[in-house]
Amino acid sequence: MTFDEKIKQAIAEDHEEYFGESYGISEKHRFSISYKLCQAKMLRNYGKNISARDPGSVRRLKYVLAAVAVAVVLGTTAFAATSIGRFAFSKHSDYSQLFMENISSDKKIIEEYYGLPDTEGWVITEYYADEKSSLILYDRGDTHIDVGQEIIDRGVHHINTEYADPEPLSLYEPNDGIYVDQGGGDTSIYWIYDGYLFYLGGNIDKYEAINLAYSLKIIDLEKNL
Amino acid sequence: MGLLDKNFFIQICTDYQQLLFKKSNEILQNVTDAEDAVQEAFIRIEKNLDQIHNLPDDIRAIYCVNIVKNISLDMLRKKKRRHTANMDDFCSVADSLSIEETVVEKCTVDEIKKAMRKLAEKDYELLYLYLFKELQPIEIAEIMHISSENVRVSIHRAKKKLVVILNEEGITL
Repeated sequence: MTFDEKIKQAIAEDHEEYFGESYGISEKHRFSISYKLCQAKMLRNYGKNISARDPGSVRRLKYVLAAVAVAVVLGTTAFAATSIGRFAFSKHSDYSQLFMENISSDKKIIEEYYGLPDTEGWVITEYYADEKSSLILYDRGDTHIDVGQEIIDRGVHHINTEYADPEPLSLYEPNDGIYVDQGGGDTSIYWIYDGYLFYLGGNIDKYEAINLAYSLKIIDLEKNL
Repeated sequence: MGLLDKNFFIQICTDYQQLLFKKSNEILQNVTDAEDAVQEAFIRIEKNLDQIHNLPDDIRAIYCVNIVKNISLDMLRKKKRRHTANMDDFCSVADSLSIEETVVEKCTVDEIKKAMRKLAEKDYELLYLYLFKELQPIEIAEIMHISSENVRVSIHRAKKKLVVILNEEGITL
């Protein structure tokens, strides 16, 4: 038996166990909401020859998140932060970030999931949900909407403001939200409600986004988990 | 690109995102960077979907893992953090070492099995693809995302490393 034959035999006897250990997942990673959002958009744009704008944005976004997290841990604001409503805001050359200040919530897990009412013709095409965040993708004709919900755990959240300056928005309380014109007809809004941070975005204008935000209601998503 | 392609791509994402994250995080040791690498990997996977579609499941996993590893290593290099996980270093056995026939003759399959567990993952994968799956270097090159010349050299070096490990285990004259 040659050396190669012995190796082949060894692999034949061991490869299943080896790859089981090496490629097996012992502990599932809980992907961040920005990853899920980016992933969902990539799938939505699949085959449309859309440039890698979103993945690029998310990369910057995540670097920013890491930096913000460090700043918060250190108790410092390494950025030249200003405030928009209840959010601290920092603008960089090609991106910016926001993180919440002086906002707390006793909700450590999502107790009720919010979504668009099913009477308006919105169809859930995909969703991700766990106890700390959810992201639901809706379609209605050519209109695509993403609705995200997160617990306010550390007061540090991140949003993509790469393509525009965030503007203050008032939904339920003065300056409780942010509006971002993402360019290309895309809009994102973020706001605080019922102890959660909400996100709603899609190929809609600002006022449609606001109306949809007001229309959110508690939905029975849990039965699908 | 049809609905079937999209469904296949979604299936790939669902099946492999945890594995790709695990492999990337092993290299980058940073959750945020690892998520970025996974995202980038899926963009590259999407571009090579036809090729991936034709691969058997086990080889498909290796293919995808090697994409995310390469991306992760690139990120690591850019950040100039450390070099221990550099794939090139996995092939750093001295070229002058020759495979000792006596060791080869004396060792048992069980001893090789044990020694192979001490190889770097890339070396194990190379030997698996070359000797067990009996793929040609050019086919392995596509799966591992390296040149076919590099495949040949790496296989040779992997076997040499195996001999070194066997020697260290006391399989000598």
